[in-house]
Amino acid sequence: MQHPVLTIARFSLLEAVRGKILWIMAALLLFAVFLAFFIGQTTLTETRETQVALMAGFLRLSSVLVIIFFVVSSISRDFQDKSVELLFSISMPRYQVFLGKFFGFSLLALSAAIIFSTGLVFYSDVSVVLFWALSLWCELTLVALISLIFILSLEHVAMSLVASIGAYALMRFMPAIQSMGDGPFQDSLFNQLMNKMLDLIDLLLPRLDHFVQSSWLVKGSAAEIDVIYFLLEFVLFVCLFVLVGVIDLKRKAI
Amino acid sequence: MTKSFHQIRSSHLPLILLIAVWLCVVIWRDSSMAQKVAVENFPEPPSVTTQVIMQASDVAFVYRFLLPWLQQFDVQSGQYVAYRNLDYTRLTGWLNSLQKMAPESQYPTLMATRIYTKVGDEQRIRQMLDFIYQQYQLNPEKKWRWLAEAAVIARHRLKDLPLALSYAQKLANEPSNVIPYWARDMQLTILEDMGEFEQVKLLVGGLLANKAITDDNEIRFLNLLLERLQKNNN
Repeated sequence: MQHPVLTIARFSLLEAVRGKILWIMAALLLFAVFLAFFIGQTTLTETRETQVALMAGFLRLSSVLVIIFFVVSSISRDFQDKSVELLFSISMPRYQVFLGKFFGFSLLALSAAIIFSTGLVFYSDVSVVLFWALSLWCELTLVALISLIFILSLEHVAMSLVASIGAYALMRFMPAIQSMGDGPFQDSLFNQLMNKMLDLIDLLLPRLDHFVQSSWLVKGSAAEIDVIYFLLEFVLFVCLFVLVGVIDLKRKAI
Repeated sequence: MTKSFHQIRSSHLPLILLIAVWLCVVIWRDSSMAQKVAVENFPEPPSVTTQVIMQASDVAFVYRFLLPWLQQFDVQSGQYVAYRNLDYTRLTGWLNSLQKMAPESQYPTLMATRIYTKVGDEQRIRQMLDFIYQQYQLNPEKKWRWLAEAAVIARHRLKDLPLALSYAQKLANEPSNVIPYWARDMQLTILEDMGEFEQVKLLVGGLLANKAITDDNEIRFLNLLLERLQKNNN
Protein backbone atom coordinates (compact mmCIF):
# COMPACT_ATOMS: atom_id res chain seq x y z
CA MET A 1 0.00 0.00 0.00
CA GLN A 2 1.27 3.44 -0.93
CA HIS A 3 2.28 5.81 1.87
CA PRO A 4 -0.46 8.43 2.51
CA VAL A 5 2.00 11.27 1.87
CA LEU A 6 2.79 9.87 -1.58
CA THR A 7 -0.89 9.27 -2.32
CA ILE A 8 -1.77 12.90 -1.53
CA ALA A 9 1.25 14.08 -3.55
CA ARG A 10 0.18 11.95 -6.52
CA PHE A 11 -3.36 13.31 -6.42
CA SER A 12 -2.11 16.91 -6.15
CA LEU A 13 0.01 16.39 -9.23
CA LEU A 14 -2.86 14.61 -10.98
CA GLU A 15 -5.08 17.60 -10.26
CA ALA A 16 -2.54 19.84 -11.96
CA VAL A 17 -2.29 17.55 -14.97
CA ARG A 18 -6.07 17.28 -15.33
CA GLY A 19 -6.40 21.01 -14.77
CA LYS A 20 -4.27 21.46 -17.90
CA ILE A 21 -1.53 23.31 -15.99
CA LEU A 22 1.14 21.56 -18.04
CA TRP A 23 -0.57 22.75 -21.22
CA ILE A 24 -0.56 26.29 -19.85
CA MET A 25 3.18 25.93 -19.24
CA ALA A 26 3.71 24.62 -22.77
CA ALA A 27 1.73 27.61 -24.12
CA LEU A 28 3.88 30.00 -22.06
CA LEU A 29 7.02 28.35 -23.42
CA LEU A 30 5.69 28.73 -26.97
CA PHE A 31 4.98 32.40 -26.31
CA ALA A 32 8.50 32.85 -24.90
CA VAL A 33 10.00 31.27 -28.02
CA PHE A 34 7.90 33.61 -30.18
CA LEU A 35 9.02 36.55 -28.03
CA ALA A 36 12.68 35.53 -28.44
CA PHE A 37 12.25 35.22 -32.21
CA PHE A 38 10.57 38.63 -32.40
CA ILE A 39 13.24 40.30 -30.24
CA GLY A 40 15.91 38.60 -32.35
CA GLN A 41 14.58 40.44 -35.40
CA THR A 42 14.94 43.84 -33.73
CA THR A 43 18.33 43.60 -32.04
CA LEU A 44 21.44 45.10 -33.66
CA THR A 45 24.00 42.99 -31.82
CA GLU A 46 24.21 40.44 -28.97
CA THR A 47 21.06 38.81 -30.32
CA ARG A 48 21.47 35.49 -28.53
CA GLU A 49 22.19 37.22 -25.23
CA THR A 50 19.10 39.41 -25.53
CA GLN A 51 16.90 36.50 -26.57
CA VAL A 52 17.99 34.19 -23.76
CA ALA A 53 17.83 36.89 -21.05
CA LEU A 54 14.30 37.96 -22.00
CA MET A 55 13.10 34.38 -22.41
CA ALA A 56 14.55 33.28 -19.08
CA GLY A 57 13.17 36.30 -17.21
CA PHE A 58 9.73 35.88 -18.72
CA LEU A 59 9.65 32.14 -18.01
CA ARG A 60 10.78 32.62 -14.41
CA LEU A 61 8.16 35.25 -13.66
CA SER A 62 5.35 33.38 -15.39
CA SER A 63 6.24 30.06 -13.73
CA VAL A 64 6.19 31.73 -10.31
CA LEU A 65 2.74 33.17 -11.01
CA VAL A 66 1.42 29.86 -12.37
CA ILE A 67 2.61 28.02 -9.25
CA ILE A 68 1.18 30.62 -6.86
CA PHE A 69 -2.20 30.69 -8.64
CA PHE A 70 -2.38 26.90 -8.84
CA VAL A 71 -1.46 26.26 -5.19
CA VAL A 72 -3.88 28.88 -3.88
CA SER A 73 -6.76 27.80 -6.14
CA SER A 74 -6.19 24.09 -5.47
CA ILE A 75 -6.27 24.40 -1.66
CA SER A 76 -9.14 26.89 -1.87
CA ARG A 77 -11.12 24.29 -3.85
CA ASP A 78 -10.24 21.70 -1.20
CA PHE A 79 -11.75 24.00 1.43
CA GLN A 80 -14.89 24.54 -0.66
CA ASP A 81 -15.30 20.80 -1.44
CA LYS A 82 -14.73 19.98 2.26
CA SER A 83 -11.82 17.75 1.17
CA VAL A 84 -9.69 19.32 3.89
CA GLU A 85 -12.24 18.33 6.55
CA LEU A 86 -12.37 14.84 5.07
CA LEU A 87 -8.58 14.48 5.18
CA PHE A 88 -8.44 15.76 8.75
CA SER A 89 -11.24 13.47 9.88
CA ILE A 90 -9.45 10.24 8.93
CA SER A 91 -6.76 8.75 11.13
CA MET A 92 -3.83 10.44 9.49
CA PRO A 93 -1.53 12.99 11.15
CA ARG A 94 -1.98 16.49 9.81
CA TYR A 95 1.72 16.82 9.01
CA GLN A 96 1.29 14.02 6.47
CA VAL A 97 -1.46 15.97 4.72
CA PHE A 98 0.81 19.02 4.62
CA LEU A 99 3.81 17.04 3.38
CA GLY A 100 1.69 15.25 0.76
CA LYS A 101 0.43 18.54 -0.65
CA PHE A 102 3.92 20.03 -0.50
CA PHE A 103 5.51 17.10 -2.36
CA GLY A 104 2.77 17.25 -4.99
CA PHE A 105 3.37 20.94 -5.62
CA SER A 106 7.12 20.37 -5.58
CA LEU A 107 6.68 17.78 -8.35
CA LEU A 108 4.65 20.32 -10.31
CA ALA A 109 7.52 22.81 -9.81
CA LEU A 110 9.89 20.18 -11.17
CA SER A 111 7.68 19.73 -14.24
CA ALA A 112 7.69 23.50 -14.78
CA ALA A 113 11.49 23.65 -14.49
CA ILE A 114 11.88 20.80 -17.01
CA ILE A 115 9.37 22.22 -19.51
CA PHE A 116 10.73 25.76 -19.39
CA SER A 117 14.39 24.79 -19.54
CA THR A 118 13.87 22.79 -22.77
CA GLY A 119 13.27 26.04 -24.63
CA LEU A 120 16.50 27.57 -23.34
CA VAL A 121 18.74 24.70 -24.45
CA PHE A 122 18.87 26.24 -27.95
CA TYR A 123 20.19 29.56 -26.64
CA SER A 124 22.78 28.60 -24.01
CA ASP A 125 25.15 25.91 -22.83
CA VAL A 126 23.34 22.74 -21.70
CA SER A 127 25.18 22.49 -18.37
CA VAL A 128 24.24 26.10 -17.52
CA VAL A 129 20.62 25.43 -18.48
CA LEU A 130 20.64 22.43 -16.13
CA PHE A 131 21.84 24.61 -13.25
CA TRP A 132 19.24 27.23 -14.19
CA ALA A 133 16.53 24.53 -14.15
CA LEU A 134 17.71 23.21 -10.77
CA SER A 135 17.67 26.72 -9.36
CA LEU A 136 14.22 27.40 -10.84
CA TRP A 137 12.89 24.20 -9.24
CA CYS A 138 14.26 25.30 -5.86
CA GLU A 139 12.73 28.77 -6.25
CA LEU A 140 9.34 27.43 -7.37
CA THR A 141 9.28 24.87 -4.56
CA LEU A 142 9.87 27.61 -1.98
CA VAL A 143 7.19 29.78 -3.61
CA ALA A 144 4.74 26.84 -3.60
CA LEU A 145 5.51 26.18 0.06
CA ILE A 146 4.90 29.81 1.05
CA SER A 147 1.66 29.92 -0.96
CA LEU A 148 0.55 26.67 0.72
CA ILE A 149 1.19 28.14 4.18
CA PHE A 150 -0.69 31.34 3.33
CA ILE A 151 -3.79 29.68 1.87
CA LEU A 152 -4.00 27.11 4.69
CA SER A 153 -3.64 29.86 7.24
CA LEU A 154 -5.73 32.63 5.69
CA GLU A 155 -8.32 30.46 3.82
CA HIS A 156 -8.99 33.44 1.55
CA VAL A 157 -8.00 33.41 -2.11
CA ALA A 158 -7.38 37.12 -2.75
CA MET A 159 -5.52 37.65 0.53
CA SER A 160 -3.36 34.56 -0.02
CA LEU A 161 -2.49 35.61 -3.58
CA VAL A 162 -1.48 39.09 -2.47
CA ALA A 163 0.52 37.70 0.48
CA SER A 164 2.30 35.12 -1.69
CA ILE A 165 3.20 37.60 -4.44
CA GLY A 166 4.28 40.14 -1.80
CA ALA A 167 6.47 37.57 -0.05
CA TYR A 168 8.02 36.63 -3.38
CA ALA A 169 8.79 40.29 -4.14
CA LEU A 170 10.36 40.67 -0.69
CA MET A 171 12.48 37.57 -1.21
CA ARG A 172 13.71 38.86 -4.56
CA PHE A 173 14.22 42.53 -3.64
CA MET A 174 15.28 42.36 0.01
CA PRO A 175 18.94 43.36 -0.62
CA ALA A 176 17.78 46.41 -2.61
CA ILE A 177 15.31 47.43 0.12
CA GLN A 178 18.00 47.00 2.77
CA SER A 179 20.53 49.03 0.79
CA MET A 180 17.98 51.87 0.50
CA GLY A 181 17.71 51.89 4.29
CA ASP A 182 21.49 52.11 4.63
CA GLY A 183 21.71 55.52 2.94
CA PRO A 184 23.80 58.37 4.42
CA PHE A 185 20.81 60.36 5.76
CA GLN A 186 18.93 57.43 7.27
CA ASP A 187 20.11 57.75 10.87
CA SER A 188 16.81 58.77 12.52
CA LEU A 189 15.35 56.51 15.19
CA PHE A 190 12.49 55.50 12.90
CA ASN A 191 14.87 54.53 10.11
CA GLN A 192 17.07 52.58 12.50
CA LEU A 193 13.97 50.73 13.72
CA MET A 194 12.89 50.05 10.15
CA ASN A 195 16.34 48.75 9.26
CA LYS A 196 16.29 46.38 12.26
CA MET A 197 12.87 45.16 11.17
CA LEU A 198 14.08 44.61 7.61
CA ASP A 199 17.06 42.67 8.94
CA LEU A 200 14.70 40.50 10.96
CA ILE A 201 12.44 39.85 7.94
CA ASP A 202 15.55 39.04 5.93
CA LEU A 203 16.38 36.28 8.43
CA LEU A 204 12.91 34.79 7.99
CA LEU A 205 12.91 34.68 4.19
CA PRO A 206 15.24 32.99 1.69
CA ARG A 207 17.42 35.26 -0.48
CA LEU A 208 15.98 34.49 -3.88
CA ASP A 209 18.21 37.09 -5.52
CA HIS A 210 20.91 34.39 -5.39
CA PHE A 211 18.69 31.89 -7.18
CA VAL A 212 17.65 31.92 -10.86
CA GLN A 213 19.66 34.52 -12.80
CA SER A 214 19.36 35.22 -16.51
CA SER A 215 23.00 36.37 -16.51
CA TRP A 216 24.11 32.74 -16.09
CA LEU A 217 22.55 31.90 -19.43
CA VAL A 218 23.82 35.08 -21.07
CA LYS A 219 27.42 34.33 -20.09
CA GLY A 220 26.94 30.62 -20.84
CA SER A 221 29.38 29.63 -18.13
CA ALA A 222 28.64 27.60 -15.00
CA ALA A 223 31.76 28.89 -13.25
CA GLU A 224 29.99 31.82 -11.56
CA ILE A 225 26.99 29.85 -10.28
CA ASP A 226 27.12 29.38 -6.54
CA VAL A 227 25.24 26.07 -6.46
CA ILE A 228 26.19 25.23 -2.88
CA TYR A 229 24.83 28.57 -1.64
CA PHE A 230 21.38 28.29 -3.19
CA LEU A 231 21.04 24.57 -2.41
CA LEU A 232 21.92 25.14 1.24
CA GLU A 233 19.56 28.13 1.41
CA PHE A 234 16.87 25.97 -0.21
CA VAL A 235 17.25 23.04 2.22
CA LEU A 236 17.32 25.29 5.30
CA PHE A 237 14.26 27.28 4.33
CA VAL A 238 12.28 24.25 3.19
CA CYS A 239 12.83 22.77 6.67
CA LEU A 240 11.89 26.07 8.33
CA PHE A 241 8.75 26.63 6.23
CA VAL A 242 7.59 23.01 6.54
CA LEU A 243 7.83 23.32 10.33
CA VAL A 244 5.93 26.64 10.25
CA GLY A 245 3.23 25.09 8.05
CA VAL A 246 2.90 21.92 10.15
CA ILE A 247 2.73 23.83 13.45
CA ASP A 248 0.14 26.22 11.99
CA LEU A 249 -1.93 23.34 10.65
CA LYS A 250 -1.81 21.42 13.95
CA ARG A 251 -3.27 24.31 15.91
CA LYS A 252 -5.93 24.97 13.27
CA ALA A 253 -9.54 24.37 14.31
CA ILE A 254 -11.55 22.80 11.51
CA MET B 1 -43.54 38.18 -41.58
CA THR B 2 -43.50 40.46 -38.55
CA LYS B 3 -43.03 37.48 -36.26
CA SER B 4 -40.03 36.08 -38.16
CA PHE B 5 -38.45 39.56 -38.32
CA HIS B 6 -38.97 39.85 -34.59
CA GLN B 7 -37.36 36.42 -34.08
CA ILE B 8 -34.34 37.39 -36.18
CA ARG B 9 -34.03 40.68 -34.40
CA SER B 10 -34.13 39.18 -30.92
CA SER B 11 -31.77 36.29 -31.64
CA HIS B 12 -29.22 38.31 -33.59
CA LEU B 13 -29.38 41.51 -31.60
CA PRO B 14 -26.30 40.75 -29.42
CA LEU B 15 -24.27 39.84 -32.52
CA ILE B 16 -25.39 42.99 -34.37
CA LEU B 17 -24.53 45.07 -31.31
CA LEU B 18 -21.13 43.38 -31.04
CA ILE B 19 -20.30 44.19 -34.68
CA ALA B 20 -21.55 47.78 -34.25
CA VAL B 21 -19.43 48.35 -31.15
CA TRP B 22 -16.39 46.82 -32.82
CA LEU B 23 -16.91 49.10 -35.85
CA CYS B 24 -16.99 52.04 -33.43
CA VAL B 25 -13.65 50.82 -32.02
CA VAL B 26 -12.16 50.62 -35.54
CA ILE B 27 -13.39 54.15 -36.43
CA TRP B 28 -12.18 55.59 -33.13
CA ARG B 29 -8.78 53.93 -33.41
CA ASP B 30 -8.42 55.11 -37.01
CA SER B 31 -9.28 58.70 -36.11
CA SER B 32 -7.00 58.73 -33.05
CA MET B 33 -4.08 57.35 -35.10
CA ALA B 34 -4.61 60.09 -37.67
CA GLN B 35 -4.26 62.78 -35.04
CA LYS B 36 -0.84 64.29 -34.59
CA VAL B 37 0.41 62.87 -31.32
CA ALA B 38 2.82 65.02 -29.30
CA VAL B 39 6.39 63.71 -29.31
CA GLU B 40 7.27 62.05 -26.07
CA ASN B 41 10.81 62.58 -24.90
CA PHE B 42 13.04 60.22 -22.94
CA PRO B 43 12.08 60.07 -19.29
CA GLU B 44 14.66 61.10 -16.69
CA PRO B 45 17.37 58.43 -16.40
CA PRO B 46 16.87 56.12 -13.41
CA SER B 47 18.05 57.43 -10.05
CA VAL B 48 20.61 55.50 -8.02
CA THR B 49 17.82 54.00 -5.87
CA THR B 50 15.86 52.89 -8.94
CA GLN B 51 19.01 51.41 -10.41
CA VAL B 52 19.65 49.45 -7.21
CA ILE B 53 16.10 48.07 -7.27
CA MET B 54 16.29 47.24 -10.98
CA GLN B 55 19.56 45.41 -10.57
CA ALA B 56 18.68 43.60 -7.36
CA SER B 57 16.55 40.88 -8.82
CA ASP B 58 17.71 39.87 -12.27
CA VAL B 59 20.03 42.44 -13.79
CA ALA B 60 20.49 40.67 -17.13
CA PHE B 61 16.72 40.51 -17.67
CA VAL B 62 16.18 44.18 -16.77
CA TYR B 63 19.11 45.25 -18.95
CA ARG B 64 17.96 43.27 -21.98
CA PHE B 65 14.38 44.46 -21.44
CA LEU B 66 15.39 48.14 -21.42
CA LEU B 67 17.67 47.92 -24.47
CA PRO B 68 14.92 47.34 -27.10
CA TRP B 69 12.77 49.96 -25.36
CA LEU B 70 15.51 52.58 -25.72
CA GLN B 71 16.36 51.46 -29.23
CA GLN B 72 12.75 51.75 -30.41
CA PHE B 73 12.03 54.99 -28.56
CA ASP B 74 11.94 57.02 -31.77
CA VAL B 75 8.94 55.01 -32.99
CA GLN B 76 5.99 56.53 -31.19
CA SER B 77 2.29 56.04 -31.88
CA GLY B 78 2.82 55.06 -35.48
CA GLN B 79 5.24 57.90 -36.29
CA TYR B 80 9.01 58.18 -36.46
CA VAL B 81 10.41 60.91 -34.24
CA ALA B 82 13.45 62.69 -35.61
CA TYR B 83 16.47 62.28 -33.34
CA ARG B 84 16.95 66.05 -33.27
CA ASN B 85 13.66 66.25 -31.33
CA LEU B 86 14.89 63.92 -28.62
CA ASP B 87 16.67 65.02 -25.46
CA TYR B 88 20.23 63.75 -25.87
CA THR B 89 21.25 64.66 -22.30
CA ARG B 90 18.66 62.24 -20.98
CA LEU B 91 19.61 59.73 -23.64
CA THR B 92 23.23 59.87 -22.47
CA GLY B 93 22.02 59.32 -18.91
CA TRP B 94 20.10 56.22 -20.01
CA LEU B 95 23.04 54.89 -22.01
CA ASN B 96 25.31 55.40 -19.00
CA SER B 97 22.87 53.64 -16.67
CA LEU B 98 22.52 50.71 -19.06
CA GLN B 99 26.25 50.39 -19.55
CA LYS B 100 26.72 50.30 -15.77
CA MET B 101 24.34 47.33 -15.60
CA ALA B 102 26.46 45.33 -18.06
CA PRO B 103 29.94 46.84 -18.41
CA GLU B 104 31.07 44.12 -20.83
CA SER B 105 28.16 44.60 -23.24
CA GLN B 106 28.77 46.43 -26.53
CA TYR B 107 25.12 47.34 -27.10
CA PRO B 108 24.93 50.87 -25.57
CA THR B 109 28.13 52.00 -27.33
CA LEU B 110 26.89 50.46 -30.57
CA MET B 111 23.60 52.38 -30.26
CA ALA B 112 25.50 55.60 -29.54
CA THR B 113 27.84 55.10 -32.52
CA ARG B 114 25.62 53.60 -35.18
CA ILE B 115 22.17 55.00 -34.31
CA TYR B 116 22.28 58.20 -32.29
CA THR B 117 25.11 59.87 -34.24
CA LYS B 118 22.83 59.72 -37.31
CA VAL B 119 21.36 63.07 -36.37
CA GLY B 120 21.62 66.33 -38.23
CA ASP B 121 22.72 68.27 -35.17
CA GLU B 122 26.38 68.74 -34.37
CA GLN B 123 25.85 69.26 -30.65
CA ARG B 124 24.01 65.96 -30.33
CA ILE B 125 26.68 64.09 -32.31
CA ARG B 126 29.33 65.53 -29.97
CA GLN B 127 27.34 64.34 -26.92
CA MET B 128 27.38 60.81 -28.31
CA LEU B 129 31.08 60.99 -29.15
CA ASP B 130 31.76 62.14 -25.57
CA PHE B 131 29.82 59.14 -24.26
CA ILE B 132 31.82 56.78 -26.49
CA TYR B 133 35.10 58.34 -25.34
CA GLN B 134 34.11 57.99 -21.67
CA GLN B 135 33.25 54.33 -22.22
CA TYR B 136 36.57 53.80 -23.99
CA GLN B 137 38.41 55.26 -21.01
CA LEU B 138 36.61 52.85 -18.68
CA ASN B 139 37.36 49.78 -20.77
CA PRO B 140 39.82 50.39 -23.64
CA GLU B 141 40.21 46.71 -24.56
CA LYS B 142 36.48 46.23 -25.11
CA LYS B 143 35.55 49.64 -26.47
CA TRP B 144 38.43 50.62 -28.77
CA ARG B 145 36.47 49.83 -31.94
CA TRP B 146 33.80 52.37 -31.01
CA LEU B 147 36.42 55.05 -30.45
CA ALA B 148 37.85 54.22 -33.87
CA GLU B 149 34.38 54.75 -35.36
CA ALA B 150 34.03 57.93 -33.31
CA ALA B 151 37.27 59.20 -34.89
CA VAL B 152 35.84 58.48 -38.35
CA ILE B 153 32.60 60.31 -37.46
CA ALA B 154 34.53 63.29 -36.09
CA ARG B 155 36.65 63.41 -39.23
CA HIS B 156 33.99 62.93 -41.91
CA ARG B 157 30.69 64.06 -40.36
CA LEU B 158 31.84 66.84 -38.04
CA LYS B 159 34.91 67.74 -40.14
CA ASP B 160 36.58 68.28 -36.77
CA LEU B 161 40.09 67.02 -37.50
CA PRO B 162 41.61 67.96 -34.09
CA LEU B 163 38.89 65.94 -32.33
CA ALA B 164 39.37 63.00 -34.70
CA LEU B 165 43.13 63.23 -34.12
CA SER B 166 42.71 63.25 -30.34
CA TYR B 167 40.66 60.03 -30.52
CA ALA B 168 43.10 58.43 -32.97
CA GLN B 169 46.04 59.36 -30.75
CA LYS B 170 44.34 57.73 -27.77
CA LEU B 171 44.10 54.53 -29.80
CA ALA B 172 47.69 54.80 -31.03
CA ASN B 173 49.05 55.32 -27.53
CA GLU B 174 46.99 52.55 -25.92
CA PRO B 175 49.48 50.03 -24.45
CA SER B 176 47.13 47.04 -24.89
CA ASN B 177 47.96 44.60 -27.70
CA VAL B 178 44.27 44.16 -28.52
CA ILE B 179 44.12 47.27 -30.71
CA PRO B 180 45.09 46.38 -34.31
CA TYR B 181 47.52 48.29 -36.47
CA TRP B 182 44.81 49.78 -38.72
CA ALA B 183 43.29 51.51 -35.70
CA ARG B 184 46.68 52.72 -34.47
CA ASP B 185 47.49 54.02 -37.97
CA MET B 186 44.42 56.27 -38.01
CA GLN B 187 46.42 59.09 -36.46
CA LEU B 188 48.82 59.03 -39.43
CA THR B 189 46.07 59.46 -42.02
CA ILE B 190 44.37 62.19 -40.00
CA LEU B 191 47.67 64.04 -39.59
CA GLU B 192 48.17 63.71 -43.35
CA ASP B 193 44.70 65.24 -43.90
CA MET B 194 45.71 68.08 -41.62
CA GLY B 195 48.81 68.69 -43.72
CA GLU B 196 51.16 67.70 -40.91
CA PHE B 197 53.46 65.72 -43.22
CA GLU B 198 56.60 66.25 -41.20
CA GLN B 199 54.91 64.94 -38.07
CA VAL B 200 53.70 61.87 -39.97
CA LYS B 201 57.20 61.21 -41.24
CA LEU B 202 58.60 61.57 -37.74
CA LEU B 203 56.00 59.19 -36.29
CA VAL B 204 56.43 56.58 -39.04
CA GLY B 205 60.18 56.83 -38.81
CA GLY B 206 60.00 56.39 -35.06
CA LEU B 207 57.71 53.39 -35.33
CA LEU B 208 60.00 51.70 -37.85
CA ALA B 209 63.14 52.53 -35.90
CA ASN B 210 62.13 51.18 -32.50
CA LYS B 211 61.40 47.70 -33.96
CA ALA B 212 58.20 47.41 -31.91
CA ILE B 213 56.21 46.42 -35.01
CA THR B 214 56.76 42.81 -36.05
CA ASP B 215 54.00 42.40 -38.62
CA ASP B 216 55.45 42.36 -42.16
CA ASN B 217 52.36 43.88 -43.77
CA GLU B 218 52.35 46.75 -41.29
CA ILE B 219 56.04 47.41 -41.88
CA ARG B 220 55.42 47.39 -45.66
CA PHE B 221 52.46 49.79 -45.23
CA LEU B 222 54.54 52.21 -43.15
CA ASN B 223 57.45 52.08 -45.60
CA LEU B 224 55.10 52.80 -48.53
CA LEU B 225 53.56 55.71 -46.61
CA LEU B 226 57.01 57.09 -45.86
CA GLU B 227 58.07 56.74 -49.52
CA ARG B 228 54.90 58.46 -50.72
CA LEU B 229 55.36 61.36 -48.32
CA GLN B 230 58.98 61.79 -49.34
CA LYS B 231 58.04 61.75 -53.06
CA ASN B 232 55.34 64.38 -52.47
CA ASN B 233 57.84 66.47 -50.58
CA ASN B 234 60.33 66.30 -53.45
